[in-house]
Amino acid sequence: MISAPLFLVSILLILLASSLWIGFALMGAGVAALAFFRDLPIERVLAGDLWGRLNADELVTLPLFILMGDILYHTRLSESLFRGLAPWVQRLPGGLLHVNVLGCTLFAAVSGSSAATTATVGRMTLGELDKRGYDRDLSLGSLAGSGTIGLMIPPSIPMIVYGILAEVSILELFMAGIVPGLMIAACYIGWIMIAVWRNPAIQPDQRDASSWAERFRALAELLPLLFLVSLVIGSMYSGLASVTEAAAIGVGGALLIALFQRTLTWPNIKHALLSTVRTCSMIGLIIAGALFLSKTMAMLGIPAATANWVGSLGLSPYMLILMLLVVYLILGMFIDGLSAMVMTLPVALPLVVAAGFNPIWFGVFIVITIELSNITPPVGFNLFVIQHMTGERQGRVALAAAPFCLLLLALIVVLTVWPQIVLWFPALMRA
Amino acid sequence: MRTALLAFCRLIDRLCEAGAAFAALACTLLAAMLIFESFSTAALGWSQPWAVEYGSYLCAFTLLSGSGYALTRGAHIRVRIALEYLPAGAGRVLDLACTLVALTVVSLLVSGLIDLAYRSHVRGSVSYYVMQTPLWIPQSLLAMSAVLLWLAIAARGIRLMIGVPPEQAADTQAPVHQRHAS
Repeated sequence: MISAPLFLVSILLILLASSLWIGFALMGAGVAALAFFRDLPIERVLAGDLWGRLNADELVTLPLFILMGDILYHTRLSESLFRGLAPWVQRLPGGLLHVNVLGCTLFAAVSGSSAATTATVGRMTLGELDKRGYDRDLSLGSLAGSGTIGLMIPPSIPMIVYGILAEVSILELFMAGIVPGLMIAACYIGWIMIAVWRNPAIQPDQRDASSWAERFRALAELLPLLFLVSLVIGSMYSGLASVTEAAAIGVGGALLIALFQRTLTWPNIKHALLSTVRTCSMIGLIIAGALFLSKTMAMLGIPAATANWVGSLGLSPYMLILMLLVVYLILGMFIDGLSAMVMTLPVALPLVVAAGFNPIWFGVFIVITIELSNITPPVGFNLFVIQHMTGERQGRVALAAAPFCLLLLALIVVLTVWPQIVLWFPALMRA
Repeated sequence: MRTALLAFCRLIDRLCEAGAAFAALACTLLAAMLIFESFSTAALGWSQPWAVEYGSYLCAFTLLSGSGYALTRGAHIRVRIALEYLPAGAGRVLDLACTLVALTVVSLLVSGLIDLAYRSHVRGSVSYYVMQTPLWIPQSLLAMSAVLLWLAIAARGIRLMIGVPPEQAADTQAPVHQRHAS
C-alpha cells in the first residue's frame, strides 16, 4: 500500500502542476489524504481548523501592516525618498543607483512586502535613472534585488506568517531580521560600487555636486518616513507597544502622512482598502490551506516519519541546510516563496530544530530563500513588477538581478556559518 | 439561457463585491479599534474589554470575506505554467477541472462552517472572553464568507463553460504589485 507521505506529496504536486490555486491545492491535498488514510468527518475538521486558526490573536498584525503599506503606496513617499536620498549618494561610485538600495531599505521599514517595496521605489527611480543615462541592467537588477529587502527589515509579512506557523515570537523574528537586512543592503551597495569601478561607463559622467546645506535641506523630505519608522519600530523595540499595537500605530501614522501630503482622498482610501482586502484574501487562503495541511500531516505522522527518514541518511547539520536550500531554490522557481514556505514548514522545521538550529535563525534563513524566489524566473514577483513597470522582457530583468541573487546566496552561507549574526540582537533585547 | 447565466454570474459578482466591502469595513474597524486601544492603554490606562476578542473576529472577516471578490479579480495565486503552455482548448478544460476541484474543497468548507455555526447555536456556546459573545454569530458570518467564495468559484465555472473570460479585468487603480498576484 502507498505510504501517506508519498501519497500526500504526489497529490499536492499534481494539484499544483495542474494550475489549481495554491490555497485550494493545500486544502485539497489534505482532504484527499484524510479521506484515504483516516475515517473522519473531513468537513468538520476543515471548518474547525479554519475557525480556530483564522481568528488567532497573532494574525491580527497581518491586515494592519498590509493596510499601512497600501495607504503609503497612495502617498507621495516615493518622490520624497528620491529627493531626500539623491543629494547624499550622487557623488558615490554608482551615484543614484544607490537610491534603489537605500530607498528600498528605508521603505522596507514601513512595508512588509517585497513587491510593494519594489513598485513604490521603482516608480520614481527607474525613470530618473534612465533619464540620466545610467546603465539599464544595473538599474533593473539593483531595484529587483533591493526590493527583496522589504521582506527582511521589519515589519515583514513572511515573518508574521512564519511566526504563526512555527509558533515563535514575531517580535524576536523582527529583531533578528534587522542585521541581515542591513547586511544585504551593504552588500548591494558594495556590488554597485565594484561594478562601476570595473566598468565606469555604466555610470553617466555627470556627478552634480550638492552643497551640504542642500543635502540637509533634502533630508526634510525623509522626515515623514523617518517619523513612521520610529513610530512603528521604535514603539515595538522600546517595549512601549506590542507588535499588534505597533501595527495599529503604523496605520494611524500612515493616515497622518497621507493627510499631511493631501493624498487622503476617498478614492485613495477606497483603493487602499480594496487592495488590502485582495492581499489579505490571497494570504488568508494560503495560510488556511497550509494550516489544514499541517494538521493533516501531524494526524498522519508525516513530520515524524520524514524526520526518521532524514535521520537515517546521516546528514550533517550543514548538509541538511544545503539540501533544504536546494529544495527551496527549486520550489522558488515555480511557486511564490510564501507558498513554498507554508507548504514545507511542517516537515522542514522539526528537522532543522532536531539538527540543532534555532527556529528564529531558520525564520531568517527561510525569508532569504523567499527573497531569492522573488527574483528567480519563471515565477518571481519582483521580476513581474519590474517587467510590468518597464515593459522589459522577464529574461533581461532576471539576468540583471542574477548578481544580486548570488549575493543573497553568499549571505546565506555567512549566516549559516555564523548564526550569531542573526541571533545576537534578539538575545540582547531579551536580556 | 446564456443571457440568464451571465446575469446570474453578474449577480454573484455584486454579492462578492458586497463581501469585499464587508471585509474592508472589518479591516477599518479593526484598525480604528486597535489605534484607540493603543491610545487608551498608554494614555488612560484603560483597555477595551472587547478588543482582543472582536479584533480576532474582525481579522478573520478581513481574511475570508473578500476571498470571492479576490477570485473574481484574479488575486489568488496559482502556478500558471500548464495553463500557459497548453493549447487554448485544453487550457480551458484544465481550468474548468481546477475550478471543479476548488468547488469541491470549498463545498466541504461551507458545509463544515454551517454545521459549526448550527451546533454552536443549538448548544448555546459562547466565547470564553469577557463579552461571552454567542459563537454562532461570528461563525455564521464566516460561513457566509465561505458561501460567497463558493458562489464566485461556481460563477467562474459557468463563465468558462459558456466561453466568457472567467476573471474581470484587473483594477487599473490597483498598485502594480497587486496586478501580478496571480
